[in-house]
Amino acid sequence: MAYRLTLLGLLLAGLAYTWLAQQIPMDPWTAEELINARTMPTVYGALLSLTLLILLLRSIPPVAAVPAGRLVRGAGVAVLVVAFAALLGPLNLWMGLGLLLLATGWWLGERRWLPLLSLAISVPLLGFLGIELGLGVYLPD
Amino acid sequence: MLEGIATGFATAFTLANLGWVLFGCLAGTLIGMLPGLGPITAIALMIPVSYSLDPAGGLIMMAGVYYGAVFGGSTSAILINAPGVASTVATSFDGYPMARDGQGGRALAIAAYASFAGGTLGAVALMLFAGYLAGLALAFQSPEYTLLLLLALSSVVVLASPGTRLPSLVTLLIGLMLGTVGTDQLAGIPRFTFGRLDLADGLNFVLVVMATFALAEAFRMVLQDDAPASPSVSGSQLRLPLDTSRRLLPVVGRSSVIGFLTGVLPGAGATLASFFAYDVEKRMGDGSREAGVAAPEAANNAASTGSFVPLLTLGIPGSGTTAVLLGVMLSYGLQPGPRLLSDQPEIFWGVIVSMYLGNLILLALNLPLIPLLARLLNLPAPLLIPLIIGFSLVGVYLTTLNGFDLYLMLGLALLALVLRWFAFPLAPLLLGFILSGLLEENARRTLFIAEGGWSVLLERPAFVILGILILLVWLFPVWQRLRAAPRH
Repeated sequence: MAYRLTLLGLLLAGLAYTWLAQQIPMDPWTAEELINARTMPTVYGALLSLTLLILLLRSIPPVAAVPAGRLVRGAGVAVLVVAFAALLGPLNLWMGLGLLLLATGWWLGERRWLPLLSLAISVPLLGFLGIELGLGVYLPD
Repeated sequence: MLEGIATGFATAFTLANLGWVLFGCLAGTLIGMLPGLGPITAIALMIPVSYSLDPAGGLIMMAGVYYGAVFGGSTSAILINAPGVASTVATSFDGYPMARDGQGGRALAIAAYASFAGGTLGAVALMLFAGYLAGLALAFQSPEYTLLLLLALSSVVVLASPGTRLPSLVTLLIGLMLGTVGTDQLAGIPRFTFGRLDLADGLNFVLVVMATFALAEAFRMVLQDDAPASPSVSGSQLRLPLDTSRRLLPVVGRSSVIGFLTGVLPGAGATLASFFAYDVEKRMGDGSREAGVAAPEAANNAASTGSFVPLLTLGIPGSGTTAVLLGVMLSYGLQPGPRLLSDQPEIFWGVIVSMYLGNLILLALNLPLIPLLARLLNLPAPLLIPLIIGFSLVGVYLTTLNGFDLYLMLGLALLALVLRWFAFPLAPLLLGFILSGLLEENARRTLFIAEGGWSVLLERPAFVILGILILLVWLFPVWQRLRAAPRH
């Protein structure tokens, strides 16, 4: 079921992409050419939709199921990644990275504070010293 | 030529220049291992250092930086499935599974030996054939590139095992579609940007590769509770058994030739070379994981050397990295091209010899580092997974400096995770993404060339040969079916 739903989702995305390809604005200089800004996207979108249709009509390959607990853990990690991206502005890259390492490690079951804190402090510190100070890579505030 | 080679050795084998190539290799390896920083960045970061050196010393150091950065990228590709540069993506296909099975040290050692062999064979080929190959590079124009790209894309689908052809086609098309996001190169029209400036330049390569490989892999480890096996890397793991060496020798030879010839073509570069070499070994070789690591590594290093052919002999940079190097040469007042060899042989041959030297130093430098690097995989999963996630996110942020890209990356990683869960191969997605822009651009230029009639294209020998090759690749499944028919 999940396999067919995935294929169906991809098919819808492929059709939407093909429709969007037809909406690409054209300029008068390239519109008449055999390959213009719409051509390749239309070909890719149509081919993808066709291939997915064929796959939908075929038998379903065996797929391993994911336990619900693990899905929750995965969703939690995704939330932490979103939080990291959202906190880049208020904090900065290195402080955000430290928090991300700490929170993700804890969420995944690491309860020993020494290795957790060592990782969360040493990696951002090395990044700051090596990349920002050492190599002089500019990071926006 | 022998006189030239002697001049090159005399230039490179001074104490100062040996020191600079050693420094270049070390700096390149360390920078290449950092997330999001590849050879172009490494060379760009070393430009201020090169200004304080004489032209020969500066260029010799840069050759070391180049090779070091390519090898550094392979290290992160093998250990945590995070290839920071396109040319090391193919290495991760078999290198990372080896690391997961506790053979990270072995994979890194094979990568180091294969890189050395590929780079060295490339340097020898450069010495012997640079002049002749410059002509070949010039013969390759948009029509030939279009067919070469079609050959690469066709091979990845048609030569896959029969059960994975359609899934490969799906991921290839998704990659090609992702490559169309952004401003159209020829007409300047925005496509699939939804009015967002963040998407105007298209999706960044580092973003796509880190999302589909590193971040998706971290999520897979979370869902499957499947951390890599702890490796214990001893000195013996770094010494390849005689039968393995014997088996890998022809792989390295074939891949180096493929890599060097592909690298010579301006624009094709190390990425295409590594994919081609990997594909050839998987389809026609013994298909082992060792060969899967050795082939792309030998090919990308040989291609890096090959890309110096159009730069040194024609003054045409064949890749982004050699374009930066061209800038360095111009800043020294050197004009690469046909006259470089006659006017400043010590520079021409010095750079070529330093490539050989750089490979030798890189091998000596990296082998002792391998046990230290492989220890990274000893970390328990709750510490290793956050490290992979942090590494990939920082890599993308350092490349684009745009927080929006991190959301995009998460979305792509989840898509890649779902595709992988249902056994869709992800390599075609990356190949499609990398080649999408090139294919469209060259196909359009081919149409301009063919404006006088399609017969013009048939007068180009390389075009015809590539056309026949594509036809043969497409006929391969038919031949396979015919061969299997009597058994049924």
